[in-house]
Amino acid sequence: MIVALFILLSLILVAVPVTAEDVVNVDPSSVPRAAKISDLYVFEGSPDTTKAVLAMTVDCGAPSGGTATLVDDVLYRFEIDTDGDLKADHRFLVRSRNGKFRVKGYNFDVQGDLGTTLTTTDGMGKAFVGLVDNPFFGDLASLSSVVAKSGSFSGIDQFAGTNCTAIVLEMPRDWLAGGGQERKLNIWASTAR
Amino acid sequence: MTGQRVSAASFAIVLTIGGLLGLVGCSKSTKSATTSDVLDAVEEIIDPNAPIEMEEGIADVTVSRVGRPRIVELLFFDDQPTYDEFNTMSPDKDNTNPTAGHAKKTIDALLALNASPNVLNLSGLDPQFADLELDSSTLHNMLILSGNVLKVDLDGTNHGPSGGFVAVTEGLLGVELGFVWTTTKKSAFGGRLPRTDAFNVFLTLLTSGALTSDSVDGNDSAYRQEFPYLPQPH
Repeated sequence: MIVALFILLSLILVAVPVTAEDVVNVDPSSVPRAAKISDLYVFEGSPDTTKAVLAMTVDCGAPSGGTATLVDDVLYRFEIDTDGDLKADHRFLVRSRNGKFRVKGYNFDVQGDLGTTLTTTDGMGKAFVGLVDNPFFGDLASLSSVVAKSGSFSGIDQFAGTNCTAIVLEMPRDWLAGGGQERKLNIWASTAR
Repeated sequence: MTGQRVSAASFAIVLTIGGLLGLVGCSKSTKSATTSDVLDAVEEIIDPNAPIEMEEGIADVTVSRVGRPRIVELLFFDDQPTYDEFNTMSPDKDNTNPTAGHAKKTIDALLALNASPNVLNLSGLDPQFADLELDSSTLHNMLILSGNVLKVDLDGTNHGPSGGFVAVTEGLLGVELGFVWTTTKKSAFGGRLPRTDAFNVFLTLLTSGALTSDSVDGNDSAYRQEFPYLPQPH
């Protein structure tokens, strides 16, 4: 009887897959800086405003003179919700390996060297992964003392003089909708491993 | 003949690398080499331009997430564990505790910096926001409960003085606040521009205008006007 119960329990455990999302337990200190997203930008192209641009920065705080850094076992994702349920309906994925990066998503599948700009075969999409100046500016360090009314903002840009690795994609606006008719989108960036 | 040589060489490489990885696997208790590892290594040696596998070896555990800029830093600035938890969640879970509760507490504290916290005075961003009325609950709903995401309207426009670059609030809060920028502009593209002073925007929003600037009003390097747009590295 006990053996039968054991077998039954084993079958149940095998039959109900436990996904990674069910057991999320990330130690923040184990996440490398190059897997931490600092900022997300979404804006119209320039000068071609029929295009849309997705950009995320990681590895921010890197000193001058470095090189672009992505973590090879990390997936960098631009996630797009087209139906308003706050769940991704499609994604643009980026991954690196041995100094190269690949971008895959709706109408996108390009691969090339880090630090270069790649173009889709139809010429409509562009992808760049490379080193940039940290585009964010501000004095976040003083926030605690300002809120506590024990100090004021210093006016010092704590991000000046530092670099990030940027992932930038440019594409026709419709590609953001993933081929659907929806026009109002929710967009976020994430990394996974 | 050449093909046979390549095949033979490939087979030798497979055996060699397989053997090496097998040894490594034996010496490391945390992770042993798999057939997939061996095949990947061989593929890279034979063809360095082989397509990078996009999913293989990824457990799909989210370790970092960003939607609206600086929301996380502003609303969880005093609670690193909650900040970290928030970063691993999907936006559809943003309305769950404890993160949602903590965010509400911070919003209330920031709004309290203003003498009239229930009437949002954003004239520091734009005069048309001077009479905008948003209370704590509305802000909480807009910024957290409805998901920490950037909202984009593909039918919107952002035609500004330099092509696609425009005034800050038109990009960052245009869609959320649903405002009509001018009589001819019915909607905004939304999203976020690289040069947006995101910290000032949310500082103003979350303190109801009590604080409008961190006294840092621009980047140290110029943004490029064409792809890839972000500034040249140092």
